[in-house]
Amino acid sequence: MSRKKEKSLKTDLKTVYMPGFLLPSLLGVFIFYLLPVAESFLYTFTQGVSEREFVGLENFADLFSSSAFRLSVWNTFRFMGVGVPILLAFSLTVSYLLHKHQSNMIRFCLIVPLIIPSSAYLSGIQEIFKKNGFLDHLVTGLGWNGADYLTQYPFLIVLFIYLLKNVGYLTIVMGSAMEEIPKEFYDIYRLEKEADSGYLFRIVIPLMAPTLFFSLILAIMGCLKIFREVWIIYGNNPPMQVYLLQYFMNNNFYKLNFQRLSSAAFLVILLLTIFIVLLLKIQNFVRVEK
Amino acid sequence: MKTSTKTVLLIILLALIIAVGFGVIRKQSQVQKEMAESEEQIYEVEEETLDTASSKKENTTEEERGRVQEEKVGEITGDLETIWLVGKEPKILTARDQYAVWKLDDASLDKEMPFPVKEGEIVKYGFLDEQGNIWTLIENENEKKYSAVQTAQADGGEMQRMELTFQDANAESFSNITVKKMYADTQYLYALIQDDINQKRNFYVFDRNGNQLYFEENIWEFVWVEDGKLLLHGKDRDSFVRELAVSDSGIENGENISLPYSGLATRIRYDAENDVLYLLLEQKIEKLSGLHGKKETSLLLDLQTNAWMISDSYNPADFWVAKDGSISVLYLVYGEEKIGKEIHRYVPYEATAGGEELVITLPCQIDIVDAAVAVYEQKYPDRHVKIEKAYQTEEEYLQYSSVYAEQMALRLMTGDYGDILLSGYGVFSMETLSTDAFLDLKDWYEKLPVAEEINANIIDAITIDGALRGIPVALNNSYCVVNEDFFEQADVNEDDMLTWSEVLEQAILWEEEGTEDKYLLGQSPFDMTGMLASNIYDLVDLDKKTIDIRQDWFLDLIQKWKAVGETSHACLDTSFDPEEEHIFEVGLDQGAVLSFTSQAGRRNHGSLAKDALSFYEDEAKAGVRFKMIKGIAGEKNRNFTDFSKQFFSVNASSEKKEMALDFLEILLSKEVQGRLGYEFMPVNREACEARLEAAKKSGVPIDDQKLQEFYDTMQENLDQVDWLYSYSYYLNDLMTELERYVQDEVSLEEAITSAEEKMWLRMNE
Repeated sequence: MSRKKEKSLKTDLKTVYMPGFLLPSLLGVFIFYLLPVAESFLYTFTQGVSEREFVGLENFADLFSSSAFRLSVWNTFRFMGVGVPILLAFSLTVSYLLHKHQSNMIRFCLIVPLIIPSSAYLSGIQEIFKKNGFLDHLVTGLGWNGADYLTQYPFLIVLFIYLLKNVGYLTIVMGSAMEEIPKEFYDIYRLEKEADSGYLFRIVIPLMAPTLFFSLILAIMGCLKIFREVWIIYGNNPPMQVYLLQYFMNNNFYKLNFQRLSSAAFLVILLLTIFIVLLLKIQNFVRVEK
Repeated sequence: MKTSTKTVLLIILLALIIAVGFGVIRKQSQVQKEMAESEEQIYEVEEETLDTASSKKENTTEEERGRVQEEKVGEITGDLETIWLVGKEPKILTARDQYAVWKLDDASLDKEMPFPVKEGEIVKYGFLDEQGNIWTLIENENEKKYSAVQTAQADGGEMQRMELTFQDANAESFSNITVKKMYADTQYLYALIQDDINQKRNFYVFDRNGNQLYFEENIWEFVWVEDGKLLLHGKDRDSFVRELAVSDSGIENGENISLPYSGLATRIRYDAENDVLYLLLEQKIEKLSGLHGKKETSLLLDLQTNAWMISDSYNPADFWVAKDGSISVLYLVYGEEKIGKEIHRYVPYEATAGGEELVITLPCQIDIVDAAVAVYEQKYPDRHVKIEKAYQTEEEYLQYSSVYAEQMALRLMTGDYGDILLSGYGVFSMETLSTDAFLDLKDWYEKLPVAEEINANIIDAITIDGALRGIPVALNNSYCVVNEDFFEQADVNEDDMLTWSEVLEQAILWEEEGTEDKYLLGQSPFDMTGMLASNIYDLVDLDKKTIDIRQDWFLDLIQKWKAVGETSHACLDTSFDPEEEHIFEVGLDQGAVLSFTSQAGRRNHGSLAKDALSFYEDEAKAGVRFKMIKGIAGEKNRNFTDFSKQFFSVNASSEKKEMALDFLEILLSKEVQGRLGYEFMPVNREACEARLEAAKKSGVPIDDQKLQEFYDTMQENLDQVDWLYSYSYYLNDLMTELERYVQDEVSLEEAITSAEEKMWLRMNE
């Protein structure tokens, strides 16, 4: 094939075939994702179900004046504030230990919670923590006062589920990143410092920074996705401590308050976007510093 | 540890995990299968192809249902076999202590006559002949002889008595017979008698002297055509009918005419003029045209689909096809104790092809809607109603109501629903009903002529922020019966009314005094719904958005409730002693002082008249004075809260709002309201009055004044009711948590805190 023909084919691919291949998926994204999102966005500036009336930012003002919304936001951020650092620290520690002491068995065990369906392991959780459950029997058997842990300690229960569900996953992600660090770094560090201490914080974590940022985003997403588990355990009326943002949105959906629902959803999107952009900025800043 | 050991351990662990995984997956697939089945069921129902064993109304769609207007003509009383008068004016004959003749048109009592029996004789059967005279088959118990007696319709005087001479081989062994059918014309007497020992149905013809002229075994049914001429129905290889002509010269048997039906008909009717045979085959009435020529079959009435007022306990016993095409069906209604008899009339009509279509979205079949559709389509012939329903029966809907509510919320968001929809009955919450998804009916309603007849309380209850977005169509017919002596013991006069704390204190007093055999409630469950409902207005203020469930009087009340629940005085559970006969179903004769009664689900039983009769009869039997009250009052007010199930809204986006409003007007009309099942009270007072009038004519042996008294008390109670729409979810939240306290699962403080949280969230979301 002559060079000219080859060039012409490449041009055809770029100008004709490529857009042709891309078009169906672009259309799909546009019709099934962007359009509904745009419509939801427009919802946030209107009121009424059958006849929509433009109300400007009234829905957002209404949202902020809602004590239930404020509670849900506070609970969600509180959960993130507690859950995300614990998850990241725990996952990092486990992955570091596993990196040093290879064990496929433990690694496999960590993945298991990801494989088992939520409904299956949540029934186990309920059996353990409910009134007259395993823990209650154990505690009363030891002579102490038992309790309905599900209703008395909902925050801790949800935190436990969150960790159980996400630790394995993040451990593998972080473990893979650690594998990428050349072993020579460890050898050189030991030669220079004559000890292991500090290797994690001085070498591993800085080198893993991009992965840690990624893990942070995954951990935050995990916080938002924990609603399903909370709903399975507590239904539509959860204890106040675990009344998360999704609860607020879900319940408003059933009240046909779509505007409030959309406003809350976009507010969350906005906050998350700001947060992620900030993270990326920090990440870039760290890279430049290095 | 060696690598090989590690590998083995890993394999074992893997195997274990796979096994557990399989177990989980299997369990999951089982659950999914069950869910899929139930979902499939839901969707199948949505497609309106559900085949429910529990329901008679299966495989129904609105379009297949055809257009038949059903009307409950009335109820009749009496125990003996019923027979239609064939020919002129059709009537029904029943007997208990004497004969009663009922008009078919309105099921009213026409006349009553004594039995023509002497000592030692019993009545085996009775029927009316062409002239309206009553015939009786009498058995002489001692001699085992049978006589037919004709009595005059005017005065019941004996016109003719003839002893029947049976000449067939089995006649000697007659000890137990059941007469299935008899008829007499001017010359002959015909009888279909079942020998209960041999379980055979034998057909006889007698002359007017009682001599047997003809006998044939295994005849299932016959119908009289004219003097000396009959059609016999039986089954040889096929189901058949055959002509039988009786004359002085002898019996002439025609050829068997095979019928294109596999089973035997419960009843047959023959229209000689048009040569049409009608057959009642289980739940269907079939029409066979051209019996003696080119046969054409058609389904005249499918009771499974056309009869929306009946339930599983209704058994069609007989039917009558009038010349105008209307069909009357006599049902035997099997209740817990008695077998009732009801007459329903079905009038087929043609739906207009095309025309404007009004769509109604329902969770399940709603009787009153079906009635309204029939009236609506007749009133507006250029309009057509299409009903979309997700579930076939109320039971199925209640099972999946939360799923339906979720689906409907999504449909409301996308506008994918009918012009009218059922918005009450658990489908939408009060918050939903306050949105503009539903048309504000306030202005329209206020101009309605029928508005003056509607219970104002219920309309006020559903008016939110000045907007009326739903129209209630029925009231729950529930009330409380108390032992009136209890009023006196509690030193309460009628104006004060009993409060819940007074009631509970009484039980605590019984416990302290060591009194035995005294109970607050006659029947379980001893649940606190009523008590919380009566007090909810003082605990939750929706206008001010406040919740105060820590008031001392309320905490005290809950503690009293728990204390009473722990004694033996809370509830006389009649189920503990099934051998005991309890009257009025509630044990007021056994030491109970309260009984909450609801008509819901009692559609198979009696009527207003029967309930009133039971009330007074049971009062007499119990030996204590009964009093019907709406309920027990709240501590701080005189609320007697109640719920209503069904209300309808108009889709605010509908392009057929006028048509929809016309339909709602029909739903509220006296005509349609009068067709509500007995479990509901109509919201239209005129319809209630009509129900009372019908009860007076029902033949139930109750004094009109007492019936009126019973009805007035019931209406008075309904007028006092505060309809509890907006508070129902709060009530539920509160009750769920307090029940946990009552059951010793949590402390009162924990229960109150938890309830507060839930209610606060609900209020502020």
